[in-house]
Amino acid sequence: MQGGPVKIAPMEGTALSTTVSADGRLAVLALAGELDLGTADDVWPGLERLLATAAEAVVLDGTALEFVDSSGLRVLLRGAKLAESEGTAFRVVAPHPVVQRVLDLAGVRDALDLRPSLADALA
Amino acid sequence: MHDETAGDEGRGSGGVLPEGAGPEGGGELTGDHTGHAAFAATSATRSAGRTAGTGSTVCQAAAPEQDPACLAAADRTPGGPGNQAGPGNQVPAGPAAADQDTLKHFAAEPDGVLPDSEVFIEIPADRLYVVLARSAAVHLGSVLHLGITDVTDLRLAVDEACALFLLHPAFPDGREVGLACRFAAYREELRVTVRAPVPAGFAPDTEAIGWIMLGALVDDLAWTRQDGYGTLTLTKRIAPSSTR
Repeated sequence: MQGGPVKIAPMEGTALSTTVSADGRLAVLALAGELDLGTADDVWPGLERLLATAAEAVVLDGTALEFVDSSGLRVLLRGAKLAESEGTAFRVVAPHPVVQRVLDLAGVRDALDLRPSLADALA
Repeated sequence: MHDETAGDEGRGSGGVLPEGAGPEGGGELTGDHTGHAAFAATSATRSAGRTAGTGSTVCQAAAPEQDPACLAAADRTPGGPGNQAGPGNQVPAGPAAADQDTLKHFAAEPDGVLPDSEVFIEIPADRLYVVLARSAAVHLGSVLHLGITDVTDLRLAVDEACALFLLHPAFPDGREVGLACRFAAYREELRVTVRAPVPAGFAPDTEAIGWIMLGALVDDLAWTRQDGYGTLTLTKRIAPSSTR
């Protein structure tokens, strides 16, 4: 990965931080904190841009994501749908038990390419 | 005032939402309607204060230019006699004047049983403030010694309940509208109501993923619309307070 992580879209007053790193082939969007109705709309434009420009795959690294609600889920599902239409892989890492429970409650596991770790998603 | 009841099993999707017949409209979608008393969510009273005699506390998280947010709980000796119906548990008359407007619709529980403890928090109808309602849920869950899964479920349920109002296309914009959350802990259940002024015909989207998740997170889920206010009531059964 070239250039190291670049901070984008700082969201003051919210509980989510976003970092993106990309090398043209693979892009990693790292989210830390809470992906909820207050932050989901801020995440989508960046994810949409990555999905449109990444040649091979976009990895949403939610290793440090501690809360996701239905608004956050919609971003993930929307990303999966766009990735499919763009012919890009969209892998999601979200190991926190709270997030895993949300995925189960919503019954959306099959709609996402879920990976247990960032290393697995990058492999 | 007109009130209708339609649908049963508010949990999950597929509920048929009624249209109000009266000028102000009224409707109800319920899984286990408890006849819970409504409480006011007026944005006119932005002050916070303890209601004399009732043991209730009204807290409102105001917009930055308004009063600072506050949060408080009023314990009624969990497990004590306060959770049994009886003369000693009637709501005393005469709330403090400052809170009269906010509480004017908040009558005694229909079955005469008062909660062991209750918390009110009102946030501006702005999605950035929902985190305050979530935090209240987490703190209350901790105070009630709920398990970690129950606490995280409660946090998500409160978030989704607020979102059903705030993300609805017909919900009025602007921070002048408040979203009032009440957490009432009884001996064997926690009842959370989220209430806000809504336009006629307003009803949550029962096909939305948020409603479906809510149905899985709580034991009972009910929607009512009456007198221009929509109220979402979540009921979560908990272990008896004496064993918590």
